[in-house]
Amino acid sequence: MGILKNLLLITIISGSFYLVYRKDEQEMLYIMASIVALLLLFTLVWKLLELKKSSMADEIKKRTITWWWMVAVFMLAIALNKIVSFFFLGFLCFAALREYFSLIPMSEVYQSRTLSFKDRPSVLLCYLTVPLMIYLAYIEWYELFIIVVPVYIFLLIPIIFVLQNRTEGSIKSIGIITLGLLFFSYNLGHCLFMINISPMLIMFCFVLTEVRDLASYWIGKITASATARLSAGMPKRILEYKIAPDVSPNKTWFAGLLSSCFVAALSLGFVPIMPQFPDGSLTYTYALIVGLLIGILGLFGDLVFSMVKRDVKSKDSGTLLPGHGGIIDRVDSLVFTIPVTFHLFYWMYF
Amino acid sequence: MLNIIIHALGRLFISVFIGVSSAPKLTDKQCIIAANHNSHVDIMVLFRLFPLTKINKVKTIAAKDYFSKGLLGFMARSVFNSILVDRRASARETMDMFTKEIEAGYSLIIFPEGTRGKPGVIKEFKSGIGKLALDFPDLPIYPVYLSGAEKTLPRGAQVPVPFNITINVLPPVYGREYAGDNPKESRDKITAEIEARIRSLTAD
Repeated sequence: MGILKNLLLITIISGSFYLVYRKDEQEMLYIMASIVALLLLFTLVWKLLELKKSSMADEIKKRTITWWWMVAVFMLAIALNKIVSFFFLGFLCFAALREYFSLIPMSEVYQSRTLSFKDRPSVLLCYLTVPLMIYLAYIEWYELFIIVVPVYIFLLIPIIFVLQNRTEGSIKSIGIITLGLLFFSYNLGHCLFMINISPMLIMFCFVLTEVRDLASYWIGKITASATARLSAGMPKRILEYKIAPDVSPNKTWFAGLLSSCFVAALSLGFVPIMPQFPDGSLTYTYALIVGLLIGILGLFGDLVFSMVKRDVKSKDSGTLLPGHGGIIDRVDSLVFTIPVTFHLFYWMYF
Repeated sequence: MLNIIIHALGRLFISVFIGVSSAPKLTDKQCIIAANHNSHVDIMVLFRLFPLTKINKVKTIAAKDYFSKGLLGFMARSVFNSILVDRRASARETMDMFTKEIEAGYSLIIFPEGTRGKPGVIKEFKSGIGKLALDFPDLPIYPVYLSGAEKTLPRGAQVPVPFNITINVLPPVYGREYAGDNPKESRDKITAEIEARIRSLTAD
């Protein structure tokens, strides 16, 4: 089984490389090659740790294997054709939305932290907005794409509540439902329209966001061990200044900003390979600004979903991705970075 | 064969649209599954615990008055190999039917609560499961806790709304470990043990 799985993985990855090569998209090949190189590096680290019998080996192994699969499926979905990309990213939104609603307990009696069984129709409506968003992105009706969820669907949900003749707990339920709707169907759904603009923009946003997640993990670990060795004093206090100790006890401002700067620097690498947009092409200054924003927003995306998970008292959002938790644990930063990146590019270059 | 294709498609559908957590397949030649019951989806999810090649060796139990007509009846009879049980029949008659099926080599899926009940609430287990355990002391009985199905399709709802479903298969209970002089006492003990294992996973 193990060999078969590896073969399938290699086939998917080389298949997507071949597809991109046939379309003659040089720039995309560079990005994909760098991602694969990065994964190979991680595989090497895992093998080394295994040799040294380090306690972290198992964790790294699980994470790396899941990374390989996520990258393979993602690259194939982007490389195949537009329709497949729409369905893949749409399914990602749906799966994240479903995980969010599954995370929150449901009860028949009124409780502060739960949904009610009467909320099921509104939840179904939220799911149905995903195919609607896919369709609107497909026909490239930008104006409706951008307002349909925050105006029409957002207003429809309270109307459903009224038609259900509900009073108790209604604003709480509407709050929980529309939060999920806006996070995953609307904000994350912006990636659907990115397909129309350029697959390179998707790569720009996804790669920088996910690299930030990875980098902040390691930068956090390294700065923590470095500050532990410092003697008490002003520098140590600054380095240990926490963003929100109750939400995430280990996240410091210093490590967070350092990884943001790292992402900003990395975004410069995208400038030569980004395509020509209608109003010019990406400049170094603008890439730096967008990159820094991705870094900072990604940091808060991470923290916001830690907050949500703490509120419902669950550690991981799901069990779908071994070593990572659920889908939300992977897309949490994307919820924040995708819409902002999209609008910054759309405003500047279209 | 057709049955296997239907099951394969059904599995694909529930994994993609409803989102069912993966669970290791049961490899026993024959076993009994005792699960909490809240939804019609439960049975589809529990069938996933068996490899596709074995699904024709699995039987379920369904109420005759409810599952004899229409689409539900068709699904129960042809897809889920249900033994239709008359709710008015005596406990002894019903138990005899189960015994016959187990002796014929079938695995059983049983909902000891007897009914779907209120969503998210586990009712007291009926002791029939304990009797089966005593009659077949070497047959593993897996307590299985399902959560999420009560949100997807609770009793009274018409349209399924996808919510992730998690399956927790607990270590098996064997009748031989509880055999004693007083069959009624051992029966209740086994039933209580299965119920306690499932309840230990509920949130509150």
